[in-house]
Amino acid sequence: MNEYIIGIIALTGIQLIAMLGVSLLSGFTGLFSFGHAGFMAIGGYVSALSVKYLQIPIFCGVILGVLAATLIGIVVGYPALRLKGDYFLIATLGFGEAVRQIIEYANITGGAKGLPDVAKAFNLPTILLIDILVIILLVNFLRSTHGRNCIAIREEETAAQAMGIDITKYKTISFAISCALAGLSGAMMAHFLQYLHPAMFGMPISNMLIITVILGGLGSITGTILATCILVPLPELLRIENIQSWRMVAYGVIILLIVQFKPSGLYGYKELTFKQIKKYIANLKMRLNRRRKSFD
Amino acid sequence: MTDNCILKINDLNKTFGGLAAVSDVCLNVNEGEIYGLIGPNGAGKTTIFNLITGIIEPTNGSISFCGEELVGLKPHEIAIKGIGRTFQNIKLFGNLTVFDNILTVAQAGSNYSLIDGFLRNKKCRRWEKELSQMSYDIIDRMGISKYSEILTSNLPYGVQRRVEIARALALKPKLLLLDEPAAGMNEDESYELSNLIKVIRDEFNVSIIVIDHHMDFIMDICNKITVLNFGKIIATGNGEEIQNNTAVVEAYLGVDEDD
Repeated sequence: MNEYIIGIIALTGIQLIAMLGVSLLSGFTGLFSFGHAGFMAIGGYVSALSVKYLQIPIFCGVILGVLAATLIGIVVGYPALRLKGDYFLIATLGFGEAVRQIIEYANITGGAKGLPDVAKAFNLPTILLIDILVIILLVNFLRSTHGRNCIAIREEETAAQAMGIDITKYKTISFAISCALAGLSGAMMAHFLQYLHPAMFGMPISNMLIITVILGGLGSITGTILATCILVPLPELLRIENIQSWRMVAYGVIILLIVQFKPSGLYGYKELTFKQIKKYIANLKMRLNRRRKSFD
Repeated sequence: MTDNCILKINDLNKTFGGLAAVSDVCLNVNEGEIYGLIGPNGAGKTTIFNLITGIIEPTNGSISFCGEELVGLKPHEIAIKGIGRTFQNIKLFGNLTVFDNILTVAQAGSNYSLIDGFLRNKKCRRWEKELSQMSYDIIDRMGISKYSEILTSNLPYGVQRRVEIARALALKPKLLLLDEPAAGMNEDESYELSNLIKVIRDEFNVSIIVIDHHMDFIMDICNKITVLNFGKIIATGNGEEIQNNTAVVEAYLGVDEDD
């Protein structure tokens, strides 16, 4: 495989982690954030800078980045999660922009010029391994009482409360997990690309995170993975000689088509499980056998 | 009589701006009782439920449940103390199956941590097994087993009401608040429901407060009835006393002009 394609797959894998975080928050808890690129930035810059100036191993730097994103997430989430509906969305949007501005004006981050020479880490197998690990942990979480509490909040907040679920606590937990995953994604991106720039974490990235999750289908990990694998590499795949300048238009058309013909997203409120796949294969075999018999 | 009093409401008031939605309401619900709360539209019945469950806070007054003060507690804390409820306009978790609806609520006593949940270790799996057993048990006892794998938003109205009661029972409550459980039901269905409610009281050992408009329904199941009008109690007593009370007749049928 050439390096370009490996690069695209690796970046998709890295972005998938942030997508899964947003999926938990929006798809499973019903909270919409337009500032998660800010948490990616925090993870990325904290990890890159701590490795550069504190001379700690990259692994520790990444952990530090994740912790920073999580802690700042809890501090921001504590007041913001008490806001209702659109106000929460606006608060996160403001936060995301604020983070970008601070990075642009600070000296230590390299400002608008960007931060070069970030220590190199993460190859494709490691990234995919981390992806699988994150998916397993997240699915486990969603199958536990804690995950079900988050889903209950998405479904019917008042009823969830009246059924003994501490909604503020579980909103905070969901927000913190999604921030941790965004931070992890940002840190991995920093060390994979070996370069950071504030524009890598602007509004368009936050938008893309939420759009991908919605198109994949709310309340579905399968949908999020599917949509990420389609939508993240798509602009790159459309980079063909003659239609170069049309690629963003094509991107928009594809999104419109999904919204028009599959408004619940690719896989809304459903999951693809191993059981279903087994059942499908068994079904297929049976049908093939039957057809073979009828031919005989 | 005060010994087995499970819910005691004293001088409860709630005003929205200048409107007194509930004023000076006193109620005593005894253990094992089915208590009826009736009154014309806007009399403040649902507001009382919302006050008991902590969704809104009273302007003043006290609500004590098994000797503990509820005013000032958050809704989930009140629910965990043992008060389950249903809603006038059904509020089920619509995108979940009946089983998942019950399972979400049936978590009393489970104490595995967030980390246990992430790792799905032995402790978590043991609890999950127990919780799903508990949920199937409730589903069986409520006679909704055949719907257990169906999304609740796809169920007929009558069944949804039943599922909502089952979900409230998954909390293992000592007191169950039913907000118009017979709304939109025909005579047969509401007859069936009134039998079910009596069975629930005996089998699950709960006291029940019911809000409803159907007089036959209320008279059939309730040991004691309180009638509200404009946020005030106008009568309390058993079925016969209520039916013969002039204030109640006036509230429902109007005053005879000739008198």
